[in-house]
Amino acid sequence: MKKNNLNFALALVLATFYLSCSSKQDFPLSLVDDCTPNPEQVIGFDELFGRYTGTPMELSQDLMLLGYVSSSDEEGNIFGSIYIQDALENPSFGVEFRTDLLESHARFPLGAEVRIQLKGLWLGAQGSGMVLGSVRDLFGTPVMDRVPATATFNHLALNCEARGELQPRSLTLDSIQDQWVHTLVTIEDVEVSQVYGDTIFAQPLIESKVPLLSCEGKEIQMVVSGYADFRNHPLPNGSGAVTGILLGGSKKFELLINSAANVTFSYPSCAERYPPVTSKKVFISEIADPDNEPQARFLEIYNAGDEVIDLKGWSIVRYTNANTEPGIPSDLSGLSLQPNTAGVLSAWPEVFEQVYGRQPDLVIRSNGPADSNGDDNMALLDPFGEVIDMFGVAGEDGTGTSHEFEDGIALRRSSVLTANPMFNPEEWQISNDSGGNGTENRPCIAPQDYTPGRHN
Amino acid sequence: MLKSTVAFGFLFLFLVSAAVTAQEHVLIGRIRDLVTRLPVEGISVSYQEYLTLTGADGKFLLKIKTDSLLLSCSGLGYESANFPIRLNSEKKTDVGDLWLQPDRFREDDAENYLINPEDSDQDQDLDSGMPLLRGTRDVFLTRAAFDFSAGFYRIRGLDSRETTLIFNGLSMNRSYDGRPAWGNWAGLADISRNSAQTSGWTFSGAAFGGLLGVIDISASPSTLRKGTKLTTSWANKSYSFRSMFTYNSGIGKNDLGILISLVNRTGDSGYITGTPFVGNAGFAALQWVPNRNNALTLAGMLSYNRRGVAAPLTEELYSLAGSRYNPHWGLFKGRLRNARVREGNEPYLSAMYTYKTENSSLKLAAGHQWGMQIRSRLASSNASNPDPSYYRNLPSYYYNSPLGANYQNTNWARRAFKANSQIDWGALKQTNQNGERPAAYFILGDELAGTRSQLRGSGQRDIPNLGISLQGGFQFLIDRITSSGRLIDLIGGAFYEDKDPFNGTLNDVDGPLQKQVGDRVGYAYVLRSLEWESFLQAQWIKGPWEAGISSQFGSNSSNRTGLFRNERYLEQSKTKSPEVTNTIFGIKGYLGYRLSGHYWVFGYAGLISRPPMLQQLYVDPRENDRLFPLAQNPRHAGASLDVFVRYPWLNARFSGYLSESIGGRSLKSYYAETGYGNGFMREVTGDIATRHSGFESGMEFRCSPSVSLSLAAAWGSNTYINAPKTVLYYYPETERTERLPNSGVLEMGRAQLQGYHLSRGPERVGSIGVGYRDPGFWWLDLRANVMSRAYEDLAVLRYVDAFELNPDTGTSDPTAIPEWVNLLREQIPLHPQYHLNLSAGKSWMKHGHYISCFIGLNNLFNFIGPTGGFQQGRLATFSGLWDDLKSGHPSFGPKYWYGSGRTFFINLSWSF
Repeated sequence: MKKNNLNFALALVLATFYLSCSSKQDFPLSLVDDCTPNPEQVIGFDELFGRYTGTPMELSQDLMLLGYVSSSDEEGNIFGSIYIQDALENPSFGVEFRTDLLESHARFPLGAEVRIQLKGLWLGAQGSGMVLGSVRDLFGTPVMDRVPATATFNHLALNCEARGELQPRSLTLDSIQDQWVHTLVTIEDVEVSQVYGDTIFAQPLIESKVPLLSCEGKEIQMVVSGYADFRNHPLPNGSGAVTGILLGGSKKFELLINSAANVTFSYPSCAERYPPVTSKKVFISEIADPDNEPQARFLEIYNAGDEVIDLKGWSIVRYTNANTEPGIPSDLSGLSLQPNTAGVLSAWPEVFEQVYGRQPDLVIRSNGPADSNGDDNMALLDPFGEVIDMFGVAGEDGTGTSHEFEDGIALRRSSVLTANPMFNPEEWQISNDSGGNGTENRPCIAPQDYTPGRHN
Repeated sequence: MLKSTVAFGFLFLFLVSAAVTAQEHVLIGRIRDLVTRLPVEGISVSYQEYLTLTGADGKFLLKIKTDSLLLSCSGLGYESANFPIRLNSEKKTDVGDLWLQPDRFREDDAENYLINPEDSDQDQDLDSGMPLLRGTRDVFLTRAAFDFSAGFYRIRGLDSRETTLIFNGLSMNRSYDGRPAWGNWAGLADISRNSAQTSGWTFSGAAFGGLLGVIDISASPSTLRKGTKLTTSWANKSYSFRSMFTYNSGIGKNDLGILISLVNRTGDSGYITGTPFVGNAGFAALQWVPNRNNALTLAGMLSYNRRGVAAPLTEELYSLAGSRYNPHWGLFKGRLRNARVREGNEPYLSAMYTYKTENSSLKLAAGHQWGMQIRSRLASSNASNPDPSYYRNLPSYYYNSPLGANYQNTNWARRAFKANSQIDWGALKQTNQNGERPAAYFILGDELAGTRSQLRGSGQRDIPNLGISLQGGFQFLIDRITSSGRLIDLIGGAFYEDKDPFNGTLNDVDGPLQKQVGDRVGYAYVLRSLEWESFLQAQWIKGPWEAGISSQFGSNSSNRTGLFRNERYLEQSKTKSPEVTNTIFGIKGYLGYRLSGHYWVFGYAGLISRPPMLQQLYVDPRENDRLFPLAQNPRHAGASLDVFVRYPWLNARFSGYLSESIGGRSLKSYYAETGYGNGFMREVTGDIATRHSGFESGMEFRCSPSVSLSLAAAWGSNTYINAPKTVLYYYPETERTERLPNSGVLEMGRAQLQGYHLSRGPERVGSIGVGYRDPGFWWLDLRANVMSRAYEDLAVLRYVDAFELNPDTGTSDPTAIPEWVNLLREQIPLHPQYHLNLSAGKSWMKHGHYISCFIGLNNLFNFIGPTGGFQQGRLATFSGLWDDLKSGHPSFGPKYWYGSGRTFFINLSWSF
C-alpha cells in the first residue's frame, strides 16, 4: 500500500514537471498580415491635398494614403519628421509626417512602402508643401505639431511590399516646381557658395543653412542640423549633385539632406568648369524711375554681342548721390544674357510684375542700383572687378546734371553697341521732371513709357 | 531575540545544576515529538510561576519547591499538554521523555505562503521580503513574516544581508551582495523546516552573525520528519500552482537514511500582469549515522527558477493603467512574453560531518556551488525606446512641452497609451528585419556566473559545573564570479554590434564587432574573493545572571580581472587589478538577569567591521578597474534591550534597539541632467552613516484553550545621520560642449541627507490578531494590520549644492530660493496601508495518513497603495525639477512599487 502511494506520488510530481517544462517561454515571431488594403479606402496625394482649405484641418474620413518613405533620421539631420512621397521614382507629390517617434528610420526605413491611416490626423501646410500631423494652439492660431510617438503606430504602418530603391527626381535650380516640395530630389551642378563662412556642415547645436550655388549662379540653401552626426564633417570641394528633401516654396527653396553622403561633388568647381567671362558688349541699357510708382523702378542690362554671356561674378554698384564710394555690390550671378537680349533687375518683384506684367530676370536689393531716385550713378563690373560700363559720374550728385533721370528715364541710344567705362551723355537719351543740361523735361509713367526687357 | 531565550533556556540547565539548593527539587526531562520522535527545542515547560524552555536537545530542567505537580508544556506547532508528576524523595527527579503531539491545526502550512524575497516579482534590489522563519516562536517575528511582509517591512529597517544564513553547515550569503541566497531553495519548503534562528545580537553556535542574527538550517534524514509528503498549492501572488514531494526514510537499520524533496512551481502570471513563473528544484541527502555520536551527510541540490518581473510605476502610470500594470511584457500571436526575466540556476554539493556528545559538539562541512543568475532586459540601438511607459510616450510629456502644454497631444498620447500599453513584439521583429543592418532591438542579460568552494567548521563545549559554554568556528570561502553581458535574443535581427549606443565606442576591442546570440557582449570581468573568518565565544550562567562575549576575526582578499578591453578605457579595462585586502572584525556581548521564571531582561551590545561587498569594491567594474574612492570599511555598532514576559497565558517580548552604521556605500547608474551638463553617470556615494533605532514588541494571550489574542507593534526610525560624499563618474565625450570636466570625474560634494529617512519599508507597524482552534481540528486566524511611515529612496543629487546651479550657465540659479528648494527636498511618508488577513485550516488523521488543508486570504479589503519607491535621479537641478513639477503632471516623478491587492493561497498536503 505504501509503495503504491509512493509510486503515485512520484508519477504526479513527474507529470507536473513535464507540464511546467513544456510551458517555457519561447515565442516564434513573424511579420504582420493584411497586405491588401481596401481600394475604396485609398486616396491619392493630389486628391487629399485638394481638400486643404488653407488652415490646419482634422481629417475625419476613414481613408488611407499609400506612399514611400523618402527621408531618414538615422544621422540626426532630420528630427521629428518622416517624408513620404507617392512613388519611388519621379514622385509627383510628397508629404511631411510630423511625429515624436525618435529614430523612426529603424521602423520606417528609406524606400519602405507605408500606409497612412488618415482618420484623426491633421492636414496642414508648410511653405508649398503639405504636412500631416497633430495640431497645437499658438496664441489662438492652430499650427501643425508632431503626432505622439505611440499614436504614430496607429496611423503609420509598413506595407507588406518589400522596400524599393528610391530614384530622386533630377532637377536643376531653374526647373524646380512647387509641387515637388516634400519629395526627394537631386539638384545637379551645384557647389557650396564662397559666401558660406565655414568649412564644416554645421556648428554644434546650431542649425546652419549652407548656400549652394548652381554653376549658373542660382542659389538654394542646404539645411544641416547642429545635432547631425556628420555636422563636423568637412564640406566637400568641387561641384556636383545634392540629394535631399525639397522644402520651402517658390520664393525660397531649401534642401534637407538625409546624410552627408547625399552631397556628391564629383566635378571640379563651377569656376573651373565654367570660367568667368568679360565682355565689352554688355552694358546698361535702361534705367527707370517712374513718376507714378517708385517701386516700379528697374535697371536693364543688354548684351549687344553674338554670344551668350553668363553674368556669373558680374556685379553692379551704385554711387548714391555725391558719394565717391560705391554701395554694396549687387551680384548678377544667375543672370545669363542671350545675344541681343536684355535682362531686367528689380528690387520690388511683386510691384514690377504688377506694373509691367512680367517678372524681372533678377531680384537685387532695394535702395540699390535698380532702385534709384534719379540722382545716383551706376557702374557695371565684370567678374575681374573692371568697370565695364558707367552711368553718371561717381562723386557727382545727378540733380541738375546731364545724368539726372528723376521721375523719368535714362535710355541708351540704340546706336550704342559697346559698353563705355566713362559716362558719355551723348550715348543716352534722358528725361526727368526738370529738364536742362541736355535732358528733357518729361516725367514718365509706368508702364507705357518704359520698355523693360526690350532694347532696340 | 528568540535565540537568546533558547540559548538561555539551554544554558539554564547548567546554571541550575550548579546552583541547586537543599530546599529545592530539581526536575529534569526531555520533550520529544510524537511523530518524528525527535527532541523538540523551545517548548515552554511550566508549573505555576516556574517556567523554562527546552534546549536544542529537547531537555529541560526546572527547580521547584513542591512534591507533586501538574507540568504544563506548550509550544508553537504542538498541542499543549499537562503531565501530572510526582517527585521522588531525592532532590533530583528525572521524568524521562515526555511526548508532544504535533499541532494538527497549523502544521507548517501557513509558512508555505511566506514571500521568499526572490519569488517577489519586483525587480528592485532584492532586499525585501522575509526569510523563512521556521524555528521562531516569537510573536513579533511571526507577524513580521506573515503580515508585515506584504508592506515590505524590514526588521529594524536593516538590509537582509545582516542575516547570516547557514544551510547544512555552509555559508549561504552571497559574496557579491552579501545577501542570503534564498533562491537556491526555490521553494523547497519541506527541507528547511528544521532551522534555528537567532535575531539581533543574540548568540548562535553556528556563526558570529550580522545585525539580524543567524538562521541555521539543517536538512538531513535525521533532522526532519520521517515519511512521505505530497503538497499541492494554488495561489495568485507570484506562482499559480505548486506541487511538492518529499520523502524521508529516516535512519534505518543499516544506519543509512535518505531524504528527497522535489518542488515545481508554475504560473502564467503573478498578481502583477505579465509575470510568468517557473521554478523547479530538487534536493537529495544521504546520511550515515553509525552511532549516536557521529553522522555523515552528503547532500546535493538542483534548482532552476525563471520569472518575469514587474516595474515600479510613476503616479501617472498608476492613474493611467492601475497598480497591476507592468510595461515589461507584450503579446505576440496571443502568447505573453516578458522582456525582463530573472533566471537562476545554482546547484551545489555538500558533505557534512557532525559529532555530538552530551557536552560537546562538532560540525565540519565542505561544499561546492556553481551556476549562474541572469537578469534580462529589452534594449535598443539606433531605434526608438520600445518601452510603452517611456516618458516621451506619456501624456505628461505634452503637459511639460517647452512651448507650453499641448492639450491635443496630451489626450492623444493618453488614448494611444491605453491602446498600446504593452510591448509590440511583432513590430520589433519587423523592425529588426528591415534590411542588412545590426539589430535595432535585442534582449541583453546581465549574468553572474560563478563558483563557490567552502570549508566550515563549528564546535561547542559545555562545562556544566562552571556554568560555562564555549563555542567557536571558522570558514574558508573561495568565490569566483564572472560578470558579463550576454546576448539572449536578437528578435529576428541578423547580428548585434557590440558598441556603446551613445558614443559609438567599441565594448570589446579585441573581439569581433558583430555578435550572435549566446555571445558575451558589453562587458565581462571576473571577481575573485578569498575569505577566512573565525569566531570564538563564551557564555556563562550564575544564579539569575547570565553573560556572554563573542568575537570574530578574519580577512578578505578580492580582485578584478577584466576580460574585455573597451575603447573607452583602453588601459584600464582588460587588466588584472591588485588584491584588495580587508580585515573582518566583530565583538559583541550580553548580560541577562532573570527576575523570576516570568520576567527576564537581556541587554546586548556589539561592534562589527566588515569589508565592502564585492559589488561595491569598484566604481564601475563593467567599464574599468577604478577602486571605490573612499576606502573606509563599513562599520556597525549597536545595542538592544529585551524584556521577556512568560506565563502560560501570556508570552511577550519588548525590545528597544539602537544601531549606527558608518562607511556605507551606494553605486547607481542613470542618465542625469546636472548643473554641469547631461550624460550617463555612475553615481558613487560613500561615507554613508545611518541610525536605526526603535522599539518592537509582540505578545500572545491565551484567553482559553481555543481562543488566543496576539498583538505586535514596532515603532522605529531609520535615518541618515551625516552628509555622504558623492562623486559622479562618466565617460568624457570628445565633443562635449558642456562644463563637465574632461577627467570624467566630478566631485559633487556632500549630500545633505542628515535627518532624512532611509527607504526600508514601513517604520511603524501594528497588528492585532485573534485565533480560534476548534477541538474538531479546524482553526481560524484573523489579523488586522497597519503599516505606515514608509519612505521613498532619495535621489542623492537633489541634496548636493550643485542642485541649485542654473544648467544653462553653470552659475548659481537666482530662482532657486531656499523655501522652494526645501519644498523639492521634502520627504513625505507614503500612505499608510491597512490590511485584513484571514487564514483557516482543517486537518484529518487516519491510519497513519495525515491530510491538511489551508486557506489564506490576504488584504481582504483590497487595499492598494505604494509599499516603497524612489525619487528618479534624472533631473538633478532645481530648475529642471521645478519645470517638471509645475505642470502638476511630472514626467520624472517618483516611482513606486505597489503592493498586492486581495490575494489567496490554498494548500493541500498529504503525509504518510
